[in-house]
Amino acid sequence: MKKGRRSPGSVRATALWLAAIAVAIYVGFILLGVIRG
Amino acid sequence: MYLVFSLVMLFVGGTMAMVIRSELLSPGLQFVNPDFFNQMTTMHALVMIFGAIMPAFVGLANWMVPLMIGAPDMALPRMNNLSFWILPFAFTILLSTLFMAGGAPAGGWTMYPPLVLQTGDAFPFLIFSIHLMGLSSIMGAINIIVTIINMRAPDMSLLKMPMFVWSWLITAYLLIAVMPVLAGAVTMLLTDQFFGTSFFLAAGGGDPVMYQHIFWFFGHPEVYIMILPAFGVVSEIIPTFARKPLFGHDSMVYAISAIAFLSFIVWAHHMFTVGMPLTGQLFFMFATMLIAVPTGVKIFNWTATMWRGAMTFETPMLFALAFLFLFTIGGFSGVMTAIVPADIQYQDSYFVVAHFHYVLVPGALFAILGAVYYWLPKWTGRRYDEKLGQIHFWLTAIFVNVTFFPMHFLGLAGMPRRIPDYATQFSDWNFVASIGAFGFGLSQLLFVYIVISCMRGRGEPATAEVWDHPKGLEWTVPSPAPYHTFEEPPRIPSAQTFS
Repeated sequence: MKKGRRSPGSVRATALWLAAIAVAIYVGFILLGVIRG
Repeated sequence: MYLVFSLVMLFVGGTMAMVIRSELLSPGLQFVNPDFFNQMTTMHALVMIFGAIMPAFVGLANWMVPLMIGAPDMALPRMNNLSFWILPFAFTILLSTLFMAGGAPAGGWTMYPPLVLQTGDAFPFLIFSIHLMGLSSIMGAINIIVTIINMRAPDMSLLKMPMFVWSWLITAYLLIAVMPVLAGAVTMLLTDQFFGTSFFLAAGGGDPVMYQHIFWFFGHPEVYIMILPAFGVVSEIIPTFARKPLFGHDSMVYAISAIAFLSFIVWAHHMFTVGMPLTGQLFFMFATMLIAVPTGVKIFNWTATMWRGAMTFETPMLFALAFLFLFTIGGFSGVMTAIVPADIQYQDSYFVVAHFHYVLVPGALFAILGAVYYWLPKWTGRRYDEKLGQIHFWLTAIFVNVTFFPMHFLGLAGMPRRIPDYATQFSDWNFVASIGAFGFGLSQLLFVYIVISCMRGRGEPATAEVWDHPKGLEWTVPSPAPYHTFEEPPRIPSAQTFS
């Protein structure tokens, strides 16, 4: 990475957060189905 | 690669549309049996939405976002590679269902239970391919957000970003929010079919209408996933050819954000006829109509950008202007269908088919075509043949209206959608629509010829700027753009915003 760019660690952390949100929504909606179904 | 893939899928889905329109050319059953017709309507929608429109916009983002924000490349190239290569596998699986016992899925792209559970051997393959497409979209969206958040040039604050980048940032958040919802819905379908659960089976205490709620909680934002990047493209093209900065850059950002937010609270307008309480109908009707406000802000801003501009009408600008007029027609018919008592009449008629095709074809597809013409010289280093481009535009614009405008009349006269045969009073306009569809399909071969000509190095060499002093970092690098740009982050004057 050149000077002025964010670090690879920061890139990875952002990506992992977003992936975790996606998984949480997936599980959340199936749980919604379990409660309502 | 995304763009080539989506072009191939455009022709696969287009061929299915030709089968549909051939069958509907005249009343009676001519070419295909009703079950195969239903397979065609279902597969046409899945291929066009997940195979053509979405990958095309992801392709544009992959190519243009790093160039526009002053980054060398996307932040996560390996994940990018993976998210692309999932797609050919997913669509091979989906298309292979055409050859399976019981045929391809035929219950509509919405996959409503209990109908979809009657699909033959294709059912698990359908569910698996939907999961793969969702996975690919989520990975693509993560990559785009990470690139925009982490890789911008140091001086580029969020509100200085070009509108195309803004529209994609918001679209990517929408994708991460709703693709898992679709995955959850189809996972529950799978367990209902094979593992004895009753999420959506009334006989086991489940609720089929709950599937519709969950599906459209994904489905409505999905519509904006396909149209917000189109807004971004048009916001890039119009200022360049009006030779004026975009009117109301910040208000455009707020309008897109408002549309994205509203897209989460309007889903039940797709299902007014399921028998929901009056309060629910009123809420979803008014929330839907509210979307017209930020959309109106955008249309006003684009028009104000052109006001007293030194306009020229090259092919990208023609597509952007046609987008403005024709997408607005789709928007108006959208407001009509948002009105509950009227929608009960329009429900499941060709009026709805006319509405969403006006949004997706002269809306999303025209923006993609305009974007390809706009950035093609930057990609290939060659200018396309302007005369051929203009011919392609006019053929496309005329045939798209010949195809889809009569569908309004057919719908209002009562022709239902998803039927292979119809009463004879509908035959005249169906004939017109089919002729338009064949013309529209054939015109796109000209587009392929124009693009391939540029890729093979024919045409005048393009300068770095390509157009007449366009704004944006992508025009500061040579044409064709090198594999890695901006190894040193570019400096941006403090007052400058792009597009």
